[in-house]
Amino acid sequence: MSPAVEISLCIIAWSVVILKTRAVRWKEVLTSDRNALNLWLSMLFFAVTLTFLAKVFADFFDGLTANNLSRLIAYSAVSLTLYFSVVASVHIQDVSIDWIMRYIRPLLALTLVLLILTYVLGVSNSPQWDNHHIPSSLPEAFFMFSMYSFALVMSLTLFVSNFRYLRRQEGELMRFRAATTTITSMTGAAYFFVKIVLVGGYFLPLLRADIIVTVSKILLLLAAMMWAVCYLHNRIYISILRPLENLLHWIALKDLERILDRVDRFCPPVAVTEGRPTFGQFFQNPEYYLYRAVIRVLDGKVMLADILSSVDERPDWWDDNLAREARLIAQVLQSVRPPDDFWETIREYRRAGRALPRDRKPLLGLEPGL
Amino acid sequence: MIYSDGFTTIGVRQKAEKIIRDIDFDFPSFTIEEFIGRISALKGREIFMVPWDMPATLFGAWMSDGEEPKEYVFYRSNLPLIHQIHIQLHELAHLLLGHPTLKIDRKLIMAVLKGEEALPFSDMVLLRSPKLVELETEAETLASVIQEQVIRHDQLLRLTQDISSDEKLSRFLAALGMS
Repeated sequence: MSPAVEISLCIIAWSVVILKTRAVRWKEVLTSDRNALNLWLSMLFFAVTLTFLAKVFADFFDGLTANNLSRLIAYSAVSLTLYFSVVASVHIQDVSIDWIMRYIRPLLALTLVLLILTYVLGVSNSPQWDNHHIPSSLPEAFFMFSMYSFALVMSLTLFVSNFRYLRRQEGELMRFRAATTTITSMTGAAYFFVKIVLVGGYFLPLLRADIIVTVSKILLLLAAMMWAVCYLHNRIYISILRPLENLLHWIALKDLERILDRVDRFCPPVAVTEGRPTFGQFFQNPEYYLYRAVIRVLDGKVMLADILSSVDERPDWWDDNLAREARLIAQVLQSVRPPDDFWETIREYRRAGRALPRDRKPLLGLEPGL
Repeated sequence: MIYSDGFTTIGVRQKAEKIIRDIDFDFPSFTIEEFIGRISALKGREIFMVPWDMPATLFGAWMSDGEEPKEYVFYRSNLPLIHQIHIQLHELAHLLLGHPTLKIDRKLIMAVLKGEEALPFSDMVLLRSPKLVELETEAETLASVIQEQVIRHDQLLRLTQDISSDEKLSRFLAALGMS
């Protein structure tokens, strides 16, 4: 990866750590909500990982300390990142912590021991690491495989737990957040899987293909950026969700307007005559226009029922065909028993609207002069 | 300058928003009963919401007591709750906007309750025309703007419902400065 990309990722990671360190309520974290500390540690170790993976810094650091020590620190840091992420995740989701801790703590310990041993016995004597993706020696292969396999297990654990959490959420905001963490952990798992494949390139030339290396770089970039997104404030998630929701609401409005186009042909609107909002008008005030459409559908339903139930109320310009069509539309609208909830009401009438036969062209000159 | 935005004039909406500000009501926790109580207190008039068998094509009607500090809002009750509330809000909006209405008295109410007379619904339309459209637009706009506030808050609650209901999650996100 180019130095520019590596440095950019480091800047993003440390920015997240610094911003979160300032935003975190440390008194609460250290007294009543220690789980938040787990996630903060995960953030910190991830930033450490990216820093020691950046070649510019790694070469400088190794020059001052020991050969390839930066690589040991980076691999240990990423193991700790994933460990603390899993712990934080299972605490939040109320998954029984005991059985997980029974496995992942020893697994973490084993991984760190293996990394240190392999480093001492082999990697420290290898040529300076130049960000090669294929191991150049057996100790290197073992070194990489130890970390990548632990990381893959952790990422998959995170993916499964986040996915299960996502399925339990009802509020859109938490679904969005859970989807983000699920995708991040899935991307991370994919990255470590590809890295294991590249380790296999030491044994099998086929697994050294450039395309696999490129895929791993893309996955790392994606995972790092998604990781940063996971720590965004709820406000930012809401600011993304609202326009997306409003787009769906615009589609809902169009469905309701299709009903209104039919109803308006047969009975006048109650109280006021309104036009259709433009896209821009709707986006400024989606709740208002949706509400107005719902009320007009409800008004139209009642008016149509009143007109059809009384010969005196029926307009003179209704011929038999129109009366038949009006009865059909009234029947469809009457079939809806709207719930008390506003959004459910919209859903029910949209469903009913689909039962209406295809709209016919307006009967020019026959509508009343409304 | 007042110009049409396709739905209502900008001036009508601004008037509605001003009235809402003046009412100073906690719309996020809106219930129609509390809202009526607030208006009642503001106007110094007791407000009665009366479900009624309204004539065809008439949804609601507001009448004022000419002798005592009482207001009567008649509305169709065999409608979905959301529709009933809108009709009630529409009629209350006429009251808030100071629109003209019919005056009734105890004698007429007693006669109606005994079945000897009918409420003068047919006089309502005559009372407000030819300004009918303008007054109805104002009332309809005010009622809709009120509900807009309620719906917007309700939407935000739905968006964040898991956070608000899950104390552990709520604390966790707050501790990390993410909510």
